[in-house]
Amino acid sequence: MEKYIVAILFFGILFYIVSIFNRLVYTKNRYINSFSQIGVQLKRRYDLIPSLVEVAKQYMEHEKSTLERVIAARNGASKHLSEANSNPSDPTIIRQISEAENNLRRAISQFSMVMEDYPLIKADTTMQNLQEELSTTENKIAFARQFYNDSVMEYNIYRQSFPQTLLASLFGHANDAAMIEFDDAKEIQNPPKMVF
Amino acid sequence: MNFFTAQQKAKSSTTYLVIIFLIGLFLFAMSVSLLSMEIHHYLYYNTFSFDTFDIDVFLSLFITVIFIVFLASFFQFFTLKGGGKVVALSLQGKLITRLSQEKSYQILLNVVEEMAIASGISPPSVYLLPDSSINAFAAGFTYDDAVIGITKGAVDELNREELQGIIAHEFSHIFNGDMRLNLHLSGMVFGIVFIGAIGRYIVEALHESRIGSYASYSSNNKKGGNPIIALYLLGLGLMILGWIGTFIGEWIKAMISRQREYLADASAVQYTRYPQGIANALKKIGANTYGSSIGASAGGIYGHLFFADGITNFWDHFFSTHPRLEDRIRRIDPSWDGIFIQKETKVQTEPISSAATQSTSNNSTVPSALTSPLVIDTLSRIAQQPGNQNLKYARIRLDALPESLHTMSANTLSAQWIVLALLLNAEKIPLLKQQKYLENNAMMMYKNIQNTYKKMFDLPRSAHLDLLNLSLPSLKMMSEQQYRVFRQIVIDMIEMDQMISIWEWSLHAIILTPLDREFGFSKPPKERYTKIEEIQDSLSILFSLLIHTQFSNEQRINQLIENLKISLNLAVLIYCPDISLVALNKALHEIRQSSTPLRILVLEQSIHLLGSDGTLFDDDLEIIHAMGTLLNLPFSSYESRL
Repeated sequence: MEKYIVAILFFGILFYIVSIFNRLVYTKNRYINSFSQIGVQLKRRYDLIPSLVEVAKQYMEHEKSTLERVIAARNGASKHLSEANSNPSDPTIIRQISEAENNLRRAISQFSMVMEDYPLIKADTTMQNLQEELSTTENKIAFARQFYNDSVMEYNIYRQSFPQTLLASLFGHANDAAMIEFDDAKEIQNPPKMVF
Repeated sequence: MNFFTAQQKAKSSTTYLVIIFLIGLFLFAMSVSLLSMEIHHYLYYNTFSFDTFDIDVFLSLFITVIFIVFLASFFQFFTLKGGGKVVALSLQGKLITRLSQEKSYQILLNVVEEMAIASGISPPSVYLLPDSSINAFAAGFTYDDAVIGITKGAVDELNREELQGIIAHEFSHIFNGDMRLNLHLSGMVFGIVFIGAIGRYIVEALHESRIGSYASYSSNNKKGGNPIIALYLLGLGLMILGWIGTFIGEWIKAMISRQREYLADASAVQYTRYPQGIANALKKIGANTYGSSIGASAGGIYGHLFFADGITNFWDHFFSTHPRLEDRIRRIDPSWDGIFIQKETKVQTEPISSAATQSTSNNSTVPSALTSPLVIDTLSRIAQQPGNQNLKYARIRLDALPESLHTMSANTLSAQWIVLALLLNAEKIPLLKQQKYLENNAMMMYKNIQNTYKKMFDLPRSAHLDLLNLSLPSLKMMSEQQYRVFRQIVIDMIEMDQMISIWEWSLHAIILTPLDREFGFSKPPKERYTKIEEIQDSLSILFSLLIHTQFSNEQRINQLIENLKISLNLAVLIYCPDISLVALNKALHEIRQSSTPLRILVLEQSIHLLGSDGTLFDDDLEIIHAMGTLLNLPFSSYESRL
């Protein structure tokens, strides 16, 4: 009788261990996949910004430095994005992108403040359309980010729980994944809009 | 092509297979036990004896082996049961969405969408496998959790018709019930493979460690045999037996798989009515340097799910899960000259939607047959359109959708706006209460929902259903917490107006049923009920709802109930005027768990009921479509049965 119990226990544990391995792989691939949702929206945002600056230039000829700062921040962020797209599981790259994004947000809010001095720009229809699009994209980024962070949390929590944590490093899952933190974490309900 | 019959056939093959497998397992377990017994004998007495037969030892070993095999099989079964997503992710698949800039991905998604709309289901998620070979697979248990994977090589090298052929082939697998069949097969064979693997592991471990060299030292027990040698012999024996068992198991599996492949090829031809598409795709595979080999090691386990052989096998002909390329091509294209198609630079052309279909406005491109009132007979005539017409019609419907809405369905957040706007639209006049609720609870979304609502105002019902189907794959891309929030909003919105319209209810069920399953809130339905009496309470509720939204004359209502009783052969059918959402969902849940013939009967009677006022209006047809989805009878599989 004991023989059966031993055999069943042995194989039961074996399969349990294999399923742990599988689940680690699954949760990891899942968060990697969810990154693409943000990536797509961020790219859209980065593509809209140059148009924004073009329109602004017509009205704000003397604000070159502010505009240039926006473009520079945008280019920096865009570069980090392509790195992140090819390697979303690297925590340093994710942190880099968070930083670049925050940089961009600061540049844009400076830009919106400056825009206050140029009331004519509000009437421009292209500007209004761009604002609308940017606002929608912001919402989508926020949602996708929440999804990504939730997936990352799922992976991290699973990885850190008992008994997985004992085997995690052995199976190649030695580190937690990084969440994406944007500066405006508190004001997430009001994504940075063009304040007119 | 009758998918319903094909599915029934697949199910009966499964039962037949299980029996064969059990016999095989019995024989296998016997041989393993005999082997172990002999080793055991050797260990104690240093000889092999074929006369003594220790029944106790034998029996205990026998039972242990059976246990292990079952354990392993269940394990494999449960792993694969996680849904198609699990397979795709384990093969390093990346989800493709409409928002990616690549033209070739757009074309691929268009093809998948067309095929899905033509079949009456929501488009399965599409995953890209980073492989330069040409291959594709479909995985998942039912239409709802189905997933399609396709290699980068395929996307790069195949043109639209060829892609359509491959995708049609995969869809055929989904509808023919092949995935379910393969799932059972995999599970079964895995158990045997596992034992062989143990043997192999033992042998390898002994080779690696230097224990082998100690074998020359005699053991403590002078009388018994050397334990090292015993272990080695055990390992070897298990390996050989495992090999034989796997050999036979894989052989049977491959034979069956090959038949299913021919069937899928044939179904795909019927679907697209364009045999050249698939034939050319196969010819291109033949020419491709990588053929169809899949890099990821997991490809081996999932080999049977693919379009063409995923592994370049020494045992090619014997074990291949797919028939030989040449044979497949010849079955489709008898006049083939035997030459494979070399790689050519692909010219990307996607017909610009409006130009190609000459739509007059974005609302009225739905063929007139469906916008004017119909008599019930006409419905059955439409339902018999051959596959290709369905595809063309699907293309027209897709092109009729406003571009902005179509794009919105591709993003998770905007897809939610579409669903909520549809719910607002359900009453034709959005209730103030719903608006207030949205303002308070979905603040980020309220304005967007309003804008979406405005865009959808004049669209025909058929477009609503299409939008829902197109939104589903995007809605799967959220976290569980996010889904909980969304789910609550949907439910609150419907219950808010105290009355449930059938359209509202269908909408909510179409969206929430697959999503609940995706996020683990519910499980795939089993076919529990085979007799109509078992579900008569649920039927009362369902038909009451249908009647209630169409008729108010009491006499008429009673008459309809009586008619239903006769057609369904039921003694009891009660009209319930007040139905809660909870009761309704419970009823649907129960009906979904009935056998296929029963569900088809329910659908038929619903159609009859809706048409009993003489004509079937546009709205009614869409409700029928919705009911088809709810009952897990996507419209085209139903059509083919008529």
